Amino acid sequence: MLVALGILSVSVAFVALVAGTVKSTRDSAYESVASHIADNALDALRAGGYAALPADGPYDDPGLAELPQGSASTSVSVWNAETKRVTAGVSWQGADGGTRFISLTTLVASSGGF
Amino acid sequence: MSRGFTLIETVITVVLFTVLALAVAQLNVFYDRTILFQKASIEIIAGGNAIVDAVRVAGLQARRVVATHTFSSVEYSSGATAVVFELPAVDAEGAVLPDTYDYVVVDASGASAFRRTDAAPGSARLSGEKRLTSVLGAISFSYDDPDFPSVRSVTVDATTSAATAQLHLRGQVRLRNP
Repeated sequence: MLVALGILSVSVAFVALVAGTVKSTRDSAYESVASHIADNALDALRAGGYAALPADGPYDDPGLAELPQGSASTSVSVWNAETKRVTAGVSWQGADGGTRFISLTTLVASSGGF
Repeated sequence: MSRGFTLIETVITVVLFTVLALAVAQLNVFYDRTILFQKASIEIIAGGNAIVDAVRVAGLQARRVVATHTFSSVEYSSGATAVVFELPAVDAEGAVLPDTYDYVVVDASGASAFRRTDAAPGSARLSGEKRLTSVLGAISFSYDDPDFPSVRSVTVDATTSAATAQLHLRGQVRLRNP
């Protein structure tokens, strides 16, 4: 009886551990996709230049289809008289059902270039 | 008075041990499958990131995409499954070497993707080949201009897959030094 209980306890603990690991790996894959989506967005905004920086709002990316309930948005704020602070954020539903979010930020100066 | 086990006691004991043994064996099978799946998942994540990062790093430093480049007696051509970047060569201090260029190829062969570097003499970059992944499912490069020297943006779509796991990553890089 004790042996059976011991094996059962170990089994339950093991299954819980494995389930957690699988979720973490899945989240890691989602995070990779999300970070590339944000990276691509910042690259596009830098390429467009200071004058073409958009207002805050959502944007589309083909990679969002890879994320459960994936959405992306940018926010642009004034950093100083000649520089704006640009943030690209991506959110999605994590493996545990909770909302995950990552963001990348850069500065874009009016003096141009990338 | 001492007595032995009855037949029914022995049968129940054997059945219980059999059930426990089967449970442990099943747990072991489950463990093996999980390890394989996890290993495959990690490989596809690392592989996909390595491909997109290789293209991004080379593209950010490149002055242009070239149609073909030959080194080590092999001709590499830019197209749907490979891209050849031409990068200004830099010395150990980071100074650009005038009219001297390194070449970086990212291409696929079977289930593997490679980054191959052909560094000019005096360049701080090192010539060589690096396998980015061995679990490549599919890769495709697309360009904003069909004329390679005029290309300013390269997009890579890479799918890595192993076991039942699959990951699709997309990266877009704009050349910084045209």
